[in-house]
Amino acid sequence: MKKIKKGAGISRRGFLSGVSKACVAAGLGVYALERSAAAAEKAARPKSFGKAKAVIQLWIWGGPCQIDTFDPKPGAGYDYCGPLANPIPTNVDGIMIGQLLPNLAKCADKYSLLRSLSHGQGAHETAAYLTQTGRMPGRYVFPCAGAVVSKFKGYDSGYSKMIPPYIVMTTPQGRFSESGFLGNKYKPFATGGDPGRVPFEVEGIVARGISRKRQEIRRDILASTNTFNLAMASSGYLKKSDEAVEQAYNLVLGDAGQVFDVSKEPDSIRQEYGRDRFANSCLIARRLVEYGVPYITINYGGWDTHKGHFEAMNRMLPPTDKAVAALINDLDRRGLLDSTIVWMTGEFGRTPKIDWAPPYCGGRGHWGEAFSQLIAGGGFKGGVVVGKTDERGERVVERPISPGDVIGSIYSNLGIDPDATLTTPQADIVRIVPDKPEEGIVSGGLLTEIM
Amino acid sequence: MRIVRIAAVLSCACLACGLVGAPSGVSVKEAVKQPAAKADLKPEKKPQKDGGDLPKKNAGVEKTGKGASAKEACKTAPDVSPYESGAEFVAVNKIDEIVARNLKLRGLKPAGLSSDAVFLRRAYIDVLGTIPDEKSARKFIADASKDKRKRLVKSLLSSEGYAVRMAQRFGDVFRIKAEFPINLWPNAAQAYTRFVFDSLNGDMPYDVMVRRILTSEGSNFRVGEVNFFRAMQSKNAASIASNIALSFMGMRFEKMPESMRVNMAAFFERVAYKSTKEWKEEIVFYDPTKRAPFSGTLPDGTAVRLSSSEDPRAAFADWLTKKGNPYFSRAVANRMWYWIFGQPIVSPVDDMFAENPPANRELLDHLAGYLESNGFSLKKLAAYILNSRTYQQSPIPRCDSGDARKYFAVYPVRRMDAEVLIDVICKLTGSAEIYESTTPEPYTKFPAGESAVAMPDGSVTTSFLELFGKPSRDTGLDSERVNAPSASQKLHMINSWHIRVKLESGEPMRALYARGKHKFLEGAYLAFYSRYPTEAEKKNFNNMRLKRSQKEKYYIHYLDTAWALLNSEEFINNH
Repeated sequence: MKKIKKGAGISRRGFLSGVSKACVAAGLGVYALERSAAAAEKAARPKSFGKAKAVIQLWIWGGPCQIDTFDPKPGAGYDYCGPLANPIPTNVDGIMIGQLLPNLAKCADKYSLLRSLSHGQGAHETAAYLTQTGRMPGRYVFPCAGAVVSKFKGYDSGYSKMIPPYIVMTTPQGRFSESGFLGNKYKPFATGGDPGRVPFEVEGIVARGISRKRQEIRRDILASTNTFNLAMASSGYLKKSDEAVEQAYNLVLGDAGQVFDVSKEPDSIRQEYGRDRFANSCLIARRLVEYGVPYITINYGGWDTHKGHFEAMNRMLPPTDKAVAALINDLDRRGLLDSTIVWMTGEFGRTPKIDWAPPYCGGRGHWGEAFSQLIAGGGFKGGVVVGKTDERGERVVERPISPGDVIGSIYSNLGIDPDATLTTPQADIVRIVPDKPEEGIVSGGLLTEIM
Repeated sequence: MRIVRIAAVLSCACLACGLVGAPSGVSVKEAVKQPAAKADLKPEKKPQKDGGDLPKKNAGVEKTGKGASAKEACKTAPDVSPYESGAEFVAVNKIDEIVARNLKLRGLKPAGLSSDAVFLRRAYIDVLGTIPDEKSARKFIADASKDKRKRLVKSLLSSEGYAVRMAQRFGDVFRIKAEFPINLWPNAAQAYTRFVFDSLNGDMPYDVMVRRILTSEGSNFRVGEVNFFRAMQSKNAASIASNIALSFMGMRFEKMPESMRVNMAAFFERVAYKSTKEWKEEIVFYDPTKRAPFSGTLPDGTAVRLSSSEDPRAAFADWLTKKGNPYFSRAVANRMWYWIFGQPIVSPVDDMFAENPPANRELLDHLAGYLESNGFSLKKLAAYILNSRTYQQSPIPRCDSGDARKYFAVYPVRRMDAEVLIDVICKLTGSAEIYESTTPEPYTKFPAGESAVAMPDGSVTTSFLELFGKPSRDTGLDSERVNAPSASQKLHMINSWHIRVKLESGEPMRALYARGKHKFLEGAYLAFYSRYPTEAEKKNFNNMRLKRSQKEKYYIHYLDTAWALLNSEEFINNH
């Protein structure tokens, strides 16, 4: 858990700085090359390019176990499977998944499983960064997928809804700054509050017990507490702030806040998702997609199961299975799955071999050599397994997938050219996803088999 | 919305009546190019304001709301008495002479003198990162002695709070952060902050401080300053040189000529790192295996030859921190001016190069010279700036507002930094935030009541701090801090549970509400704004209450008034 492969890390960094130096030296030449390559590739865009309008990222962090979920290895024996040795068949011939996922087993035709993710990183923060940016630590802190989408699909690009274009339920990640060098403007709006409670009090948007009338009186008091505003009026220094207040009130006094209210849903739907925090978050995410928000992250921790792993799986997987399956089916019934990507991942997987010795007594450590992701909708085909690991789930043996492959594919389906570039504060032009694999990471290219 | 409407009506109206100097059609650039045209640029004179008078009638919302004509709004000029004294600009030190000369040349009129209350509040924010409490505000305003501002500056600078606030600012530059992508680790981040704090608290001469950093050796947990060599993603000589350029020279490494970059990096090729048996401990040291005679070239072109027993870092530090080095004292003078005054002389503050001229070159050179001739004492430089008439200007510009800001003809209004804002809210409401760093293990938890400004580790964050633009400390660039307003920030202030609980149940707030209708407002204004309410404001408070139904108690009105104060521009901005 605490070990970073030091030697490897340094050599990668060294390599990276070499690359960036080379880029600086070549300057515009490299850039021009990239552009012409981009033009060439435009002709050969995958069929699913531009199919998706929104992403729901289920960020199950801490490192969810691949063997107990999407890449079961019943043949590996008790030391690998522990008590969860009986994976179940799905509604797609030949696809088996973990026994605690019966609901997801019934809708495997609607999602695909990526079983050959690999980045070799065992530290939460580096892996979390890598999985969501496609980048190894280097010269810049890159923005994660949500921030890039909020740049390309948000207010800069014609998005005009009152609810911000990038929402995280409920707190920012903390491990790294999601917006990277893009800065504060592209950070997610964190809802705060507890989606498990009804009404869900979204910080700033939904306030319990403050009537509309009182909101309006307050606003009048605020408007008349203005000696300073009047003194400063001709300077224009407060203009932006005034505009922000107006926007805020559109949201407070308008009805956009109802998007967060799961009690507007019929009981059957509530039942289908479940009623816990994560289930409600999934349901709200669907409502946000309907409203038009392009990127929603559900920040769902608790998967760092060094100890008591199987107890945790028995406790956490059933409600997770129920909610994710409900989300996928619900989106599908509403015709939204075709335009909505559901992307479920942690930062890495867990050691296939169980640590029975104290103090772990049946725990699993961090595992970045091989792990799985689920991806559905928005132009991605369902019912496909991409990639393969060995018989113990320890190494990738077929079709390696790098984090950048997944992110680039998501961008492509959203209609964002993976060759698109961003400008750093140091005025360098960089691609939104790497054009070649970061050192130490094997890439198999975009997920064309399911695009 | 309503606020916007009023402001718009008023500013249009005033422009129409010619109350405020309207831009006369000559662009700023042209003005600079053609000093002959400066007479045309002079803003028309504002009507005389008499600071001693009772507050003038307020163009309040009631009136405007009922459709007061533009003409009427013009008649009642905005009441500026809470913010300025009306005194004309009189130079009190050389800063003022230089600034005044420059303004005259540009045809710009400096702002009036700030009121005592405004000066008090801003000095607290700029020096300590907090606002004065009600008692201090009453005391300072009542103090009739002539040197009270000077005494205030002295007492603020001698408090520990000065070093805490300055350590926060240097922490941003130095990227003091436990986690990704800097990965100093918690113990090291704390040791590093401790070194910076101690240096500032003891007013270690800045040249000595930088020299100590640049020649440091030892454990990241025990010798805090060695972390300068660790606070970067790629630990190599070029990165070290790049950090030195940004941190101490206010320059972007990537903009330096290639040869200068290579030469500078060469001085740091012999820095080495090794881990120990203690988890995450790392020793930074001069690599003995690389001991050899050294010959290199300093950024100014001077050749250096050293014997194999000398550390090239020391030679570089000697050059960098030498008096008269234009790269060194000007860079820190620019930063100090920016940190205290709020508007850099070279902007951005960390992008100094020949093609980016200072707004006032003479001022920059003078401040750098002042620092050097006062033993590189940052405290003395801070005091010098704080005591200047330039710093003590009112926030209300008397000429083109953009130029006024750029050339220091006004105190620049700006939102309080995220950390300061939450500390101030907590202080007012007697509440606390929870600060912890849950990665990497072992978790770092801070005692309740710890202030955000005092956080020794940039990785420690909250939704509030993120929302209000706390820098991530990934790059050390000043642009990481974003104090621009956003709708999400307003939502949080207006309507969040987080803020609401503080206002409703904070102990000092409840005591304030319990004071009764005659004493509540005064206490609230002093607490939030550090000033007394005007007659118009008292009247407005009573009028608004009448809008409530009989059932609603005073308490609700007090609460909502406190809420309005918290959400007002006068509160959230440092002015």
